[in-house]
Amino acid sequence: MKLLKTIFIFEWRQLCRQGWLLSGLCLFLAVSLLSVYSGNRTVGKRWVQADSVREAYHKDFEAALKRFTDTSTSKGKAEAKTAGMAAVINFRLPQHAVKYPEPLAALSLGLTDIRPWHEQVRYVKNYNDATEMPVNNPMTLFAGNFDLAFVIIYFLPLLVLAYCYSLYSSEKEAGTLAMLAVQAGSVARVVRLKLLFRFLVLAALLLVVNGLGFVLAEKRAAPGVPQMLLWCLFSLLYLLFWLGIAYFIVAFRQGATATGMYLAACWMLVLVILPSLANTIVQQRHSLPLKDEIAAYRRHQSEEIWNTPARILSDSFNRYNPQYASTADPAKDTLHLSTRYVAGYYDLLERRMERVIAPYEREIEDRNRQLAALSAWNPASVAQQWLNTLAGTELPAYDQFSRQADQFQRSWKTFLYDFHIPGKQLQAADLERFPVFRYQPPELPVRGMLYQAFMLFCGLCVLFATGSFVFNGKDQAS
Amino acid sequence: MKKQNMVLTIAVKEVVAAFRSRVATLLAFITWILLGVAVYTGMQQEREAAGKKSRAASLFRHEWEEQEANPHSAAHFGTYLFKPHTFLSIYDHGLNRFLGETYRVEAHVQHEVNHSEAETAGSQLRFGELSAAMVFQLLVPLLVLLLSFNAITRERESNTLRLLLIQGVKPAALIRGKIWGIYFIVLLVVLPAFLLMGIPVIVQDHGQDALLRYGLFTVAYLVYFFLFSGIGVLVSAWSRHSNAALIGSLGVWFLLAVLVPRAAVRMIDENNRLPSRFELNRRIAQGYSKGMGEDGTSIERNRKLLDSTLKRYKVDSVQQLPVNFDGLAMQNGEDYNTKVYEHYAGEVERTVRQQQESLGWVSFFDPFIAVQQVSMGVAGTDYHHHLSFHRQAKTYRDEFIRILNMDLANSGSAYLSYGYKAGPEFFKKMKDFRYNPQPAGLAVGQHRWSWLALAAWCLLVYILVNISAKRLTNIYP
Repeated sequence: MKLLKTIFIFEWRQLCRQGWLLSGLCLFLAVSLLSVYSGNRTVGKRWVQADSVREAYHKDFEAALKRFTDTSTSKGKAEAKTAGMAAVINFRLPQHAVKYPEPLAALSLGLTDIRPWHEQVRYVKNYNDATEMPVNNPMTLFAGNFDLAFVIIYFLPLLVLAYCYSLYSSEKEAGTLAMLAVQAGSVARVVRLKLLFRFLVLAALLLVVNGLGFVLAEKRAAPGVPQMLLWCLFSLLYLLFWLGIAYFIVAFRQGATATGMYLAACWMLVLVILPSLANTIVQQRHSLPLKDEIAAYRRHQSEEIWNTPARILSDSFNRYNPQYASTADPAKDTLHLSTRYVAGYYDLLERRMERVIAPYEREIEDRNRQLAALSAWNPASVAQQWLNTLAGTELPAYDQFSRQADQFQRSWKTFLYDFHIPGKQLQAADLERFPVFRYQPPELPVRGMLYQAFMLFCGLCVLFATGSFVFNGKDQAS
Repeated sequence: MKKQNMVLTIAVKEVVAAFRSRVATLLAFITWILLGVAVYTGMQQEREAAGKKSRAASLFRHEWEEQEANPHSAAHFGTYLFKPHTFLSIYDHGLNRFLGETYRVEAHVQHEVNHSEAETAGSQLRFGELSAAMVFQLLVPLLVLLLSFNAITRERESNTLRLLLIQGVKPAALIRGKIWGIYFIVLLVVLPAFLLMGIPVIVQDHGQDALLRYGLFTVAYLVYFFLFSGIGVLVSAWSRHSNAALIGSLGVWFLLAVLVPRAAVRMIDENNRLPSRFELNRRIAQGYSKGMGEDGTSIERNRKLLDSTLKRYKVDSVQQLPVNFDGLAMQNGEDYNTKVYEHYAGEVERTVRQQQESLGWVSFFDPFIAVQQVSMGVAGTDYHHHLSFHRQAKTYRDEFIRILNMDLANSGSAYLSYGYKAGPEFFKKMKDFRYNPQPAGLAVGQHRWSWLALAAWCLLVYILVNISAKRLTNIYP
């Protein structure tokens, strides 16, 4: 206990005396705050854009409602006649599925800038997903996000490197090693206590930065306590990982320069070479399909189905949608361009398209699964995924949004078809009964995350144990 | 000793010391391994992608030529164009993963170049991918700094610095000698790689432009490595100990290669805001239906066209027209659609160009950004090349649709009748899309600030060498 106190006091004095180290810690704090500001700007922009969707919809909604009642002019009278037609409502008042940023999104932007967060919904499914892709400068996407997650993933290890590279050699170069070894019983013990102090300093800094991030992040709802706790847990584990690496390399008792170089090489390996190699391997094994077969299929199917006799198409529609069978009128439905003919066209096209799109999507899923499996071995990639998942900006969240938007599109179609197929008009009151899209984020995989955290912790124990083993071995040898 | 000889002697000593300590050999080994993997996988991917595109393009062309359809149905059927890659994209993938590859040609709709890889990938892709450019931009500078961080501090720590200065070695010559020594080691490592990478450019006969581009690519990186050799030695000259020099060098590298590029691009993006997709789509849709300025709504524009057409042919009704008014009306709609699209999408394009221009200016503060821009530019994987493809594809599309609409107008078919069909003979006449690559000179011009920034950085290193020399003189008068 006395030794612990002595070393902690000594380390504290050292920290206060070393201006460059204090500057480094302050720089980390400053860059963290800057990154939170940058993340806030991005998320703030997203909120403004999402609000503009809502405002535009309200404007359109009011205009659609007004058409039912405004019969003061001849134009108004003409419009009132068509105001309740389902096809007109569908065209003039498309619905919107919006994925609003989640409370921690500003801290880990993830795929915020690249994946669609908004879908315009009509009763015909839109297969051209490009119409919803965010407008971007590709250079911004290429450069990557500048958020707190980036600072934690990239900058924190460098801070560990700068703080710990001379953990052992500074004592050796100062000639105090022998004295400490006598007092503590072993050099390894001294180094471990020094490392513990540095961990506490960095952990405190990290928690302060995280806390500031939670408070300052642009949000419209308070982040959940589990999310914040898990964020802190994962960032601390990540810090421990780098301290483990530092301890392991320091254990070889090289000079400060050599240790620093090895640590820099580890940084490069973990944060640049391994992830990029994983990307390259997956690109090599699963090159992205061009979608040309889907495009060719769609064009052919469109033509083929459109040229199908109206009777067959309306029959097909009735067969697949028996809920509308009671309102069928064979004399009317079998006319070219009848409601059931057109609905049958889209219905059949959609069914056929789903069949060819499914394998393509499976291919993409396989590709992403392979990449996730490869990345699971890299704590930096895993940490990035954890933070994104907590912020609701990782792939599963966007896939979930896409699925829910599809579901909403079906609800919208069902709602409007109840009027459209039998040829009924909507009343003004019906506009208040529109289905509403509410994005439900995927359930946080707490168990899976804790399991991964546990596995990483076990790996860290092994890393520290190996480091200690090497240290003790060298101790005995000396 | 003459000044030049002094510099040469110091440089040679540095090279010998580096190879004796095996640091240089190790660094060369790492660089070559990574470059080998990067180039091999780059070639494989490029070959596969080119094969897929070529097969798809043939399929779509075949389908186009063999159809028998009403020209307007054919316009809806449309076709697909694929963005070709330059040979150098094997070495620098640039923005390719974040840009689309496919352009849809279709009636009524002005598409963008769609389906980028990043659209379907998770956040892992943001860590980057292995390419020769990545090795040159990120890894080699780090290795250069690891070679050079103790170039001066080593002399200081072993007390040979004082001896050298007493013997009459000028501090500036010492620093220059160290820089040239480190740079020579770097050249020994990278020049064989550049030569090997240049072989396919020469052997496969990609044309003089490709050779010129490759030459510029090589020059840009050689200048960049020189800058980092200088930065490394200068950090060493300003540091008291090797440990501090190492941390300083790593700090500089992190700042220049990791932190500033991300932060700068994000700040530029925030200061030149782009609209959301929803806003852009809505503006375009409303611009078309309600009209821009005094153009009138789409119905009014159509009525105006009908009136002027009837007047021109001196007839009273659309049925009396010697042309099918449907074709004319659709072409009128297309022309207006193009006008609206160019207006609103043009605003987006101008904003992105403004962002690119700002990035060029930022490269005066960061050589990493400068070389990244220059490298993408000569490799043809930057935004400007993408834009060039988009423009050419769009021009082709507009002409493609115009030919179809005019064929319908002049087909002799009646207004609002859809019985007329053109056969393969007509569709075969439609020219296939040919992309004209931008000349290398234009690529240099588009990144002129970045090229100038590289030159400015060289000048800065030269000035800092002299300042650092004075500092060394002051320490050891």
